[in-house]
Parts: sequence; structure tokens; C-alpha cells
Amino acid sequence: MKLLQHFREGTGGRLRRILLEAPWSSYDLLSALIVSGIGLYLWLNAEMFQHIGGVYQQMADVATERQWGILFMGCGGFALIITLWCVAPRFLWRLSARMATAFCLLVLAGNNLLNFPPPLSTVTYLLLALWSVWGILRTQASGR
Amino acid sequence: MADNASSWSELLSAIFSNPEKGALFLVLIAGAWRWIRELWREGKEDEHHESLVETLMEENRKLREELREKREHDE
Repeated sequence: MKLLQHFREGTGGRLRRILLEAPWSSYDLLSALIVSGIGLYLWLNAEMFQHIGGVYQQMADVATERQWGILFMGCGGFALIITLWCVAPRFLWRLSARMATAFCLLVLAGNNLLNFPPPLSTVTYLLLALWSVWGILRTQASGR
Repeated sequence: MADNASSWSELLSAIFSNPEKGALFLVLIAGAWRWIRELWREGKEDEHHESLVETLMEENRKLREELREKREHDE
């Protein structure tokens, strides 16, 4: 019981404050840049899915590299504009920007998870995707 | 009942076997849930604001009445 209380007052409390109260803008900026960067990479490498042995087969079945690249650049660019806008945009704009980046990161995480064994980048994509979903859930009308 | 369960399992397997569908499903659920929560919260805040204004107006009316009675009494 005492250990639990120590955890709540110490590391647990710190984690709670980070997840619930700390500004999320730095994560928004990072995820928007990652998604835009991946989009640009896909757009420039039109045969990337073929070169990397079947890891991106699920994505390749749905659309080409160029199409995914345009979608990712669109979502990332939109999120970047909303994050860097000088005044706080309206709640629905901020929510939709976070939804857009979360969608892209969840697609990458889901694609990797459907491979067996999943590639190493699954851990990165999965954590980024989970943090993005958490970002959606903690979006508030007041504040950024 | 069994048909219902199989249709649900078909839907779930379709979602999870296609990463883009699963991602879209999860994102829409999370976004809709957050939006509904925010609308509900706004409604609650408006309700509280209205009740506070009503209480203040009632208080003000009572004080005015008291003051009027006091003036009449003094005269």
C-alpha cells in the first residue's frame, strides 16, 4: 500500500501530469513533421514498396507510393499548419489535425503488425500511433 | 444470435486485416467520442452559467426589495 502511494506521489504522478497536463504541441509538431517527411519520401520513391521485401504489401495493395505520399503529405502539412498557426485554431480544426496524423501513423503501425515477425520499426510506429490517439482524446476546447 | 456474432466477427476481421480501415475506424471513434464529450461539457458549463446568473438576479431582486422596505420604514 505504501509502495503504491509512493508511486502515485512520485513517478506515477509525474507520468499523470505529463499525459494529462503538459503541453502537447511539441508532440503535434514532431508527428506532423514525421508524417510529412514519410509522405515526401514515398512521393519521391515511386518503387519503394517493391524494393523493401513485402513489408509494405498491405499498403501496396490499397494504393501506390505516390498516392500514399500525397495523402501523408496532405495530412502532415495540414497538421503542421494547425500546430504552427499563431493563434489557437478552433477546437474542430485542432481535433481533425490530430485525427489526420493519428490515421497515418496507425496505418503504418497496422501495416507492420500484419507482418510476421513484425519489423523493428513496429515499436516506433505503434508508440507514435498510440500517443497520437491519446492526443485526440486529450484535445480540449480551451488551450492547445 | 449466431448470425449476429458472425457478422460482427466478419466486420472486425475486415477492419483488422486492412490497416487503413482499422486506422480510420479507430480515429473516427476517438474523434467522435472527444467531440461529443466536449459538446456535453459545453452544455454543462452553459447550464451552470445560466443558474449562476439566475441566482445573482434573484439575490439582487431580494436586496432591492429589502432596501425599498427599509426606505419606506424610515420615511
